[in-house]
Amino acid sequence: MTRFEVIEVMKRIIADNLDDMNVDNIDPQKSMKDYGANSLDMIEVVSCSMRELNIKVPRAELAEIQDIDGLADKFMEYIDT
Amino acid sequence: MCRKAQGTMMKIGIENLNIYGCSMALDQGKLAEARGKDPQKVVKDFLIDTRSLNPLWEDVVTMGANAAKPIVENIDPKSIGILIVGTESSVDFGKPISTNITGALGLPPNIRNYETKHACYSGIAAMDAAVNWLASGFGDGRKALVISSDFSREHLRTKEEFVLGGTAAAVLLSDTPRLLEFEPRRKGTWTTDIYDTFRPSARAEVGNNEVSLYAYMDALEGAWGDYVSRAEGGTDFDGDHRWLCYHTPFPGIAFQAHRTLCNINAPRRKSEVIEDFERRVVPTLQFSRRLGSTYGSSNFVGIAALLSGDSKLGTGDRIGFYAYGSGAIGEFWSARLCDGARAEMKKMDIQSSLNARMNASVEEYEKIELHRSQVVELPDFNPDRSFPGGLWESAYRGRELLTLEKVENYVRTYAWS
Repeated sequence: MTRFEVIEVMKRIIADNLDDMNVDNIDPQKSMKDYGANSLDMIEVVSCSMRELNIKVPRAELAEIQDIDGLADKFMEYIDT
Repeated sequence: MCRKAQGTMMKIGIENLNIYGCSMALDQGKLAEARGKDPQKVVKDFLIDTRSLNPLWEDVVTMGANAAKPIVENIDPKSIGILIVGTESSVDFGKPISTNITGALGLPPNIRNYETKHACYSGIAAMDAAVNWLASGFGDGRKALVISSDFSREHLRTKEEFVLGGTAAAVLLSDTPRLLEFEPRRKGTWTTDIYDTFRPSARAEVGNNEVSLYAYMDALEGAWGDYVSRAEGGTDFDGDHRWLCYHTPFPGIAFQAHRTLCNINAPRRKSEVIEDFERRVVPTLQFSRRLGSTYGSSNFVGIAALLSGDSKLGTGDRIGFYAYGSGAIGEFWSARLCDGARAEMKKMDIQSSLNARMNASVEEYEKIELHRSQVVELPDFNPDRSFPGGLWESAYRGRELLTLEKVENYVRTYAWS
């Protein structure tokens, strides 16, 4: 799976979990917090993304990541290419 | 059930339980307003209506003793062979508060006692040691008293201010359970070395909220996986657990925890998770919504809420519990409801004691917390019983509650009110 595809999966899940969100309006250089996500929303996005990507990343490694791009980079470390 | 040496099965479980939710409560909506936040959103996000608050003459010793008193005064103290107190809020780094509580309650001198520490897991750690002691048979049929007692530290005007509180639980464990019977062979554990929330000094309670939430979920998944792999006879998340009681640093996290386990077992729509959450989880949250953070007492508060409420209970209903302690550890364990558990629990009338708490204003709360933070490490301290005005007279005088009388050269003196 490519990095582009990982970001597309995450954007779709973010849109599913946040109110009034359109996939096309999500900028990966921003944080989910910029789109109104609270801590529990972010946990759900991370959990759903890991499930769909079939990876298991220790969530505690994700806490300091600042934006969606950063999350995608971390997920890519766990994806067999 | 546990296997006796002779090959017969012995029951071990909770014979009696009480919750002490302090003598004051602070309205979360009013606090939100005072901090310029939307009160409805704050209450909805954290699922906390009020948080517990202590006057300066209460601490984790008094809270623990006040939780245990109604249990102990109705049994022969000599029938208790061990007292284990779980806390992350101890008033001393060496002397365990189990000794203060043993003295205050007048327990016999031959009682074993000590303190356990593992952040919010400390109460379940204490219970675990007590269960093992009972199962060993070394107590010669005596009972075990487990107390969990914790209180928040001062966080005025921080983002953590909406997830604070404090509670004590007293749990009498024996081989004649009346509330819950444990399933010692159904337990899963997961641990990791992490700094999520911790207390490096007598005043600091620090950490990173996101790290803590992520660690909580990692530990939930890990503990559930271990539970599934070890459970005698296998397990089915939806079919086996009539009730689910999750650790609640704030009750709002229980929904996310439930959603996580639901989706691990069988992915489903959010609306289905909400329906299942309301059916299997919400009945365990009714007290924690009024207490705020319940720390090490969390699972015990959930049991008390379920049994004190009006949900339709069945003898033998299995409750799945998730306990979590920062640092961190997660444990998924289960137990079954005993016949007549609700009637037994309602004798304690926890609801009335929570209703009787004085509503503190935001100004009173701020003054108390600031003062507590200033005096907590002083060698000498005399709590001012005149503040908040009227509380001592209305809630303490003549009511036989344990209170801190004075601290003199670090020696703490307690007295019944």
